[in-house]
Amino acid sequence: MNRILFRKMGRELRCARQRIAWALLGVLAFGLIYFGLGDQLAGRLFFHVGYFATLGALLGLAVSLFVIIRRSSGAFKISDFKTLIRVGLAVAVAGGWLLLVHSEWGYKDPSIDPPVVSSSKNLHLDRQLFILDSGMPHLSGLLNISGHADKRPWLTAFATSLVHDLTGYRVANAFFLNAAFGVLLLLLGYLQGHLFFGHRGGAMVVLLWCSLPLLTHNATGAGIDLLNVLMIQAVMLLSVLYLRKPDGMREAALCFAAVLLAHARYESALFILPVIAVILAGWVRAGRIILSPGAICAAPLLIPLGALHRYLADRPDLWELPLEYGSRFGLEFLTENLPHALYFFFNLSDHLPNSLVLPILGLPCLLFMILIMRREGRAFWKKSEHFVFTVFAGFLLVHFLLILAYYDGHLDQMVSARFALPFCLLLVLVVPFVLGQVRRNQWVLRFIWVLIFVHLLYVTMPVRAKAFYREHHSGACEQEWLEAYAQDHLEWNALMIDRYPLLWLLEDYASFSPEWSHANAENILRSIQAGEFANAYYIERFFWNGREATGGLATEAVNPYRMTVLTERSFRPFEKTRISKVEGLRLPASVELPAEPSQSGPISDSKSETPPGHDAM
Amino acid sequence: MSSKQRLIFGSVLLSACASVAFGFFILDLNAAIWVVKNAGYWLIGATFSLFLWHLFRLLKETGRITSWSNFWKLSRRESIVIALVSICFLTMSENGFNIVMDQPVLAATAFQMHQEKKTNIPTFGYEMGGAFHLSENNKIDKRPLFFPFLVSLLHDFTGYRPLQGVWLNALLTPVFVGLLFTAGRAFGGTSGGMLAMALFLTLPLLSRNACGGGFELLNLIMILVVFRVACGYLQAPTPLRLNLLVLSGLLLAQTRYESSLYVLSIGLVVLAAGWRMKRVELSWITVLAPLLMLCVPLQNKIIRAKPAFWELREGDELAFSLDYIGSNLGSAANFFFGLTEGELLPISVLLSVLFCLALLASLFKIKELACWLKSPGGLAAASVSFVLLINGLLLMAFHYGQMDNFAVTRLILPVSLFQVLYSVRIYTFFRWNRSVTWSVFMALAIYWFGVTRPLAARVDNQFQGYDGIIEVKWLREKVSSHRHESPLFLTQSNLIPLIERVPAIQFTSAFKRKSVLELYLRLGVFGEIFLMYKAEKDPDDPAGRIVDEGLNQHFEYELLDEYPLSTGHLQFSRLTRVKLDEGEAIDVDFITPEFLAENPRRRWEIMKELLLR
Repeated sequence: MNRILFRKMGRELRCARQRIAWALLGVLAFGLIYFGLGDQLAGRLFFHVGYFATLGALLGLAVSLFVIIRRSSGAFKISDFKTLIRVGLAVAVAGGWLLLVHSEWGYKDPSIDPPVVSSSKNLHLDRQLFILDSGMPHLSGLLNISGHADKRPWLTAFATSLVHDLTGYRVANAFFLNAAFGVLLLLLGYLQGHLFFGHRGGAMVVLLWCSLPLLTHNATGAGIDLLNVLMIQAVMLLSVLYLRKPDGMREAALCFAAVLLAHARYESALFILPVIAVILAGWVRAGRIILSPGAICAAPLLIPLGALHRYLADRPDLWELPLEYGSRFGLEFLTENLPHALYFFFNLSDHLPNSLVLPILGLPCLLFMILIMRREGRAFWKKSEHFVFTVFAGFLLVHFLLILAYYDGHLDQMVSARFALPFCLLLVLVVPFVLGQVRRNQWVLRFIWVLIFVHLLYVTMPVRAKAFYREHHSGACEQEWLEAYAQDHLEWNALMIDRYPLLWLLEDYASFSPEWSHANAENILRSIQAGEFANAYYIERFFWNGREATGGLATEAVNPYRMTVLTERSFRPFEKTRISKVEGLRLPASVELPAEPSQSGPISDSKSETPPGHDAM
Repeated sequence: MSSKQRLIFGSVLLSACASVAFGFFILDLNAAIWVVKNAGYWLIGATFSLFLWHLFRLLKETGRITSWSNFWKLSRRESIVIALVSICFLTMSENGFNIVMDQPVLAATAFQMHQEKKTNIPTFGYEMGGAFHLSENNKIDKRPLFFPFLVSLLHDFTGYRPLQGVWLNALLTPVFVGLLFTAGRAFGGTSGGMLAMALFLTLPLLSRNACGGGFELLNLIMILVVFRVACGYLQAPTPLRLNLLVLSGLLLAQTRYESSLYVLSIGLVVLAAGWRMKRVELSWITVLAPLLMLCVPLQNKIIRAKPAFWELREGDELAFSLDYIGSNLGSAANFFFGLTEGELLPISVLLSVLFCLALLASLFKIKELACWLKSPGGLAAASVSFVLLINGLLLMAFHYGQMDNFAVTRLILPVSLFQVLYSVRIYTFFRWNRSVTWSVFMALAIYWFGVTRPLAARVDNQFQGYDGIIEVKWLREKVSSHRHESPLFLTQSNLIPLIERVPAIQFTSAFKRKSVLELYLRLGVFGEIFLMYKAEKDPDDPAGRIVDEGLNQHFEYELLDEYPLSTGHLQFSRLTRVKLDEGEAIDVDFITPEFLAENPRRRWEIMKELLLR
């Protein structure tokens, strides 16, 4: 049997020689670029080409899916499929309601979310992966004064830029898009659960996801983690679709989806390996090498991503690695992070966005899954959904171990908790998978349903309502206050001097970092006199224990400005944030501002006329 | 009796004894507070979940879950009328808190239930890094838990709203009207249902409660639910229906203080069913029932331990006494017939007159009435009405039972329900032809347009001018307009800002925590600290100088705004300085940038300690 198969494969190999050559060429190009480029060139490559590679993959996926749907309309009962989608959609929307009902939209972490929005804005404007550091509104968009290339894989930024393209730029697009991804994840989860355990399995997946406040947290922010999980789920479903009836178009769809998934997060390139395993299994099942044009294109489309990883590998300064650590990954971190992970998953307090029901049900089910695999032997692998889920489950476990071996993989800290989402996907899916395989005891099943419902109602809901896990995210609260104050009290064309200029730039305010503004203080004041900016406002953050103020960048020794305090507020204990209006320079040869901005001609270059930033967008 | 039934019967006795022993004797006050606070939510949650589960099973069993019309057994025309009547109820009064002593407390309890799944009333809340925390305390409210539980569920599923109780009542109004219609229809067909709705519509009092955030409407609904379920049980006494009856009785008992009396009517219904069928089949839910009701005696113990809960007025020694009956009966007569000229009360003289006529008419229909009373519907109605009448009598013996007092009128609603349903029952014995029926409805419509609606508007206008209502409204307005400043409110009505998720403490607490307040000011923990207080006119000062409540002994503040009341002024000020004695200030000089760098997590812990001092 095997001999016939291999002979057939050999024949196919000869027939597919040309396609294989193209595919190898693509892989070779990828390898050459990854290993051959220096960090400067690699940086330029992903900076300029990244958008188009992702766009290519997305268009490829869209076309493949369109063809698959058209071709398969006669292959399965459309009415059944429509019912499934209708029920799934109803359950997903209801789940989405539960997921989002207590949510507050906004940046969940000012150090993570805004750069994604900034990248999306630049992709929208220039199709370049760029994060602003300083800038000012200009007729043709934002006048970039300084910035840097985004180090993050850009799928979320790309998707957000598409929404900007369709509806116009606004920061909120990023939040709403993630919410939509959340509902889509529930729908795809429903379909996956339905494969395992019928409608009950689908509903169980949705409820288990809803029991996780971490998902809510990500579905209302602008982070990149939710799309990553969504893409893993989508790739799993496409893998099942492909493996059930392997053909060129399905393979292409799977390859394009895998390319997109690799662009979702740094470590998501890992999931290309299970996709390769699925494709090979499909070839074996089909008895031929399919190697569709989509699969051939996959490797070249990954070139900009490879360039990004090359760039990152050569720039340790971008790893944010504390001095005491020599490497980002290490086995020593595994032992250190494991207790943190256990604390996160089995946490009983309301200060972490975990779901206790996930490990309680999911971990035993993982063990049962191994037992089922042993019990069923070869027959187990024949079902496409079994094969796909088992292969992906293995890689989700590897991914989890990778996270635990990461120096910053403390899952019980809010900044890192989001890394747990892919493992949560595994825990969510394994429950209906196992229930679909074992002889079902009605009482056990009822117990599981009651457990999920009770947990959802009496544990998740209050945790989500309180959102105590957000409490140390004072930066987001501070930014909300600053923006509200600026909107109510400051001029639309004001200049904001802030340690975090990006947050202002995203709202179309001109903004410079304090260091830059100190170095160019006199020019800034002249620009104000010329009417380029209505006024300049300085945001300071300093230590405050009721008697002495220290620690701000605008201390007497550094700050060249003479300022009037407008308002101040405390967002972190023993720290104050102050908004002051720049009145002039403290130095002897200072430039004094008139009471009203002068209407005389501009002093700085003519590019800097002052149109409303809002119109420029 | 089978051995299983004997076992269940024994278990019921045992659990009843256990419930009585724990509820009344074994648990002391502290233990009672602990149980109500920590287990109250879960007990009422379990009761409600079981009720819903049994209701679902019954509807499934009777095939009434297939469609909306099948569920209610309503035609489209009837549904439209019910919707219109509900709209009328909901538009006759202004929405908002209308009993300011009760409804903010219910809202605060619901907030606590929503956020912490505990039943104590919050006394202080604070915001830290964007999350609103409620402080821990052992203050248990006297009010039963079912209404705040439902409000908390609504918070859970639709997001938090300070006026969620008002929303809940708006949602419950069509449920009440539907149940009222079906109860009336059970007596006299569709016209009976319509008559019940029309008669209740003449009473503006219901509208006041439907537009408020109190539990009176829910109480009426649960009475009607018990009546419906009792009818079903008497028709076919199955264990499932018994479970539903017991569970609905448990929920009713936890809706209003005196509604625990309806346990008696459940007992009467079960006895009546046993008498009719010559057997009673008990279920395991009946074993659980006494334990699920444990909070009722425990809350009663808490109320008895704190005389302030009875709100006894000067001169009153007992909450209930036969001495009150005389004066209360006069007030009740005033309420029912509007005897005092010029006094605005949300009453319906027409309903009272029709009820009296129905009482007279029943003399002519004694035979039919006696025959009907033997039917399942009649027996159920008699059992519920018996407790309704006891309830009315109890009210007459209550020190706060003056029905013509605006704040007390709502207590009469169950009696009004009895009036309406009794009138419907008697009038539908007379088989009037179509033209008479239409004439009656026309007359009721004219009464509604001519009397009820203008009366409701006048009552509402008068009501909105009450000091208590103005105070709450003004405070809510100040809270919402200053909430972006991250303020702390010092006010006697601290629950109003708290349910808006704005930090607030009472003055009594503020006076004790002066040094902490001074530290808040010094550190800028809160964007602003505002004072909201009622200042009375100084009788010694003819110029009308305002004296505050001794606040200036403790604080210096700057007046920002004031609002006139009939008895003084509401003042809104900003705290500028806390007057402290030498050495009273809290020293935090040990906290330096270096200290925080060494202990990065300590900053939050220290702040939490300071906030909870």
